[in-house]
Amino acid sequence: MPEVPQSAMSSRVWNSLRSPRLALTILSLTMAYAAVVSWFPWLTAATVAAPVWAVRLGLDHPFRSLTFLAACALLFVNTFACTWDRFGRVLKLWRGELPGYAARLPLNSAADFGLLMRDAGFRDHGGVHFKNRFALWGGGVLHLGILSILLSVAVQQAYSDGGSFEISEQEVVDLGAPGVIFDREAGYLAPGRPPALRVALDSFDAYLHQSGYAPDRRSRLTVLESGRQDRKVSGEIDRSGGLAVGDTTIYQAIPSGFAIDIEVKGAGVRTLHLRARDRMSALARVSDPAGEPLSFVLEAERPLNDPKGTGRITLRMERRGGTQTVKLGEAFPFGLGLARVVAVSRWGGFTYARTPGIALVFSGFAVALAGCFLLLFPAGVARLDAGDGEPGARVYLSRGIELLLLESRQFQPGASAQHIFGER
Amino acid sequence: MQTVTFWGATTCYALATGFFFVALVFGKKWGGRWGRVGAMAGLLPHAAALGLRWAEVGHGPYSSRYEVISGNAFVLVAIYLAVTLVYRQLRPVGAFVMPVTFLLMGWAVSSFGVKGEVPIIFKSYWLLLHIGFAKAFGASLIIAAGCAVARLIKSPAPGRLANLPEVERLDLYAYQFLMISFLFLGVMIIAGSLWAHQSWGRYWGWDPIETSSLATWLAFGIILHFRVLHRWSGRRMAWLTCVAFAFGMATLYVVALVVPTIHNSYLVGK
Repeated sequence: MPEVPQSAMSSRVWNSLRSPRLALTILSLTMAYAAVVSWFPWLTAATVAAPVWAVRLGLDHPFRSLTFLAACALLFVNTFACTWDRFGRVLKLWRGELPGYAARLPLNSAADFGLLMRDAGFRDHGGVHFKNRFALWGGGVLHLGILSILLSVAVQQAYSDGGSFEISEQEVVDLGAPGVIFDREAGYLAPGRPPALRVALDSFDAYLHQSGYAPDRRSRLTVLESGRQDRKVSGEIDRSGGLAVGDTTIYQAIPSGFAIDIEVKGAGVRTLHLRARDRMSALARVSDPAGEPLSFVLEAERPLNDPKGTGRITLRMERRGGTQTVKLGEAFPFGLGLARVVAVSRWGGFTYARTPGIALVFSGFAVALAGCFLLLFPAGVARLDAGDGEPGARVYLSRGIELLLLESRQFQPGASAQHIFGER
Repeated sequence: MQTVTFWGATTCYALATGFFFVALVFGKKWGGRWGRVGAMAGLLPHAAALGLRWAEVGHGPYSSRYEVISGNAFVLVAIYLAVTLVYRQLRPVGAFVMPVTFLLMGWAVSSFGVKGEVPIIFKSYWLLLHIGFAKAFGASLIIAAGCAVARLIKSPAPGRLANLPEVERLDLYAYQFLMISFLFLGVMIIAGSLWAHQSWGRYWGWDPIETSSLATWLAFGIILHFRVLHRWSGRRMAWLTCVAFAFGMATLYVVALVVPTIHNSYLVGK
């Protein structure tokens, strides 16, 4: 592996970047940071707001703070430098060149060396003995996998896009329309607008009991890609998986509630999503077409979130002048004209996500796991080395060298040694 | 029937603990043999107890405290017995594994009556990988810690406790199992994040258990770096293995009990 830096200065920087001490420092600090900030109350409870000092320090979102991102970047650079360096060392071992710290085995004769190495699981390749030669690459492959994961997650986060929306049964919403998406989180390189999708909620069951599972939400959605009438996807989803349409996936979220469809004369049908006021009632605050504020209040005989049903539902309209009971299909004064409630249904919360480059993330995971798997095999290189005239050998073993030295001292030709992963 | 099989298994594990103790302290080889027989004998009713509960509630041992802890104890004994079939010198470490198993069974029974359906998000194949490797991680870490503790006890006087293997071998076993648990923890985290992506469209949410498992993985990484790069071994490494054990057990058993997390359901008890 070629030496990257040329000048003394760049050499010093390179050596600092690849130093194990830097790796351990970053890992320790990152671990301590994660362990401390994860206990912040505003991270463990959604209702707690971050205090001013935390916002000033960027700790309101500690895992998006500059400190954390800088540590991740430094970890990437350090891992890259270590990996580069490591591949050079492994290549030398692969060729049979032993490092300076290889252990020295005292031997009675060269013949003993062959027997001892064979018992220890080494194989002779033209005078150089290898044990699990392939596993020499384990650490390097693991580091390569970690680099791939860091890189692919960074790329994916830059392009990721997600947000929430609500929709009631038989309603159709355009995700690209203003006001439909809320809590949107988009990466620096993500598209400027939410996906151009028209979503219709064909059916929604807030408490469907699927065999073996606790009652939960289940929806049937039809999604149309705007401008591409031929691309229409329908499907049922629950909270165990999403519905993919092009590069976007739509997921079932937890929030749910009652909705009323109001037909306003001359203005078509509007859907109002009611919010729970207490266990038995929900309300929606709106302004009528004349600009007067009013509330629609829905009350049930039983708790609104009782999977067995709410019992009888009553609906009334509250405004400054008084309260009026509203019945399904009956006209009532609304602004300067009339309106009527045409349906009472449920709305469900959903999210969408665009996370491009998932194949890259999967590949990084696969490479890291392959590295971990290779590391399970102890790898070694050994060769005869006369040293200072005494018969002996030099051995590199990724682990278990102390045991090999102990066994070499007790070694008697003909008696089989016992080794981990060699012992039967 | 579940009660009978569960207590049958617990009794066998208690006997195995006693036999291993006799083997360790008094150097009686028959103690080790009978200890393994006790562990094997306990595994059968234990499997029956878990199977009966599975049939009753319709899901595997991954929802309530009883199911999770009892399942973890089962995996621990199964892995210990399987590994010691091949690596015989590891057998005396049963003196450290079986007491932990017995304690786990005692903790599990405290929530024996808790039963319920699992959330809909459990409808995923990633669940099997995530939970399976979590159990394997816990088991391999307990065996690693057992080897490390055995090494710490034996090292001041290597001639003592002759049933235990040489300190060098215990050191190697502890390292080997720490490495294995590092791999299992990695798979557990990855499978969990892929499962989260399948269900919610995001890999990572910095949930307390997610953060804790990442911190544990980093701690393991640091400890393994000390071993590989700084060639730490012996007593220092044994103590570090105990630190890794503390991290792992905190992630598996403590965080979900003390902090609100999306993982609370797996340790739900009385």
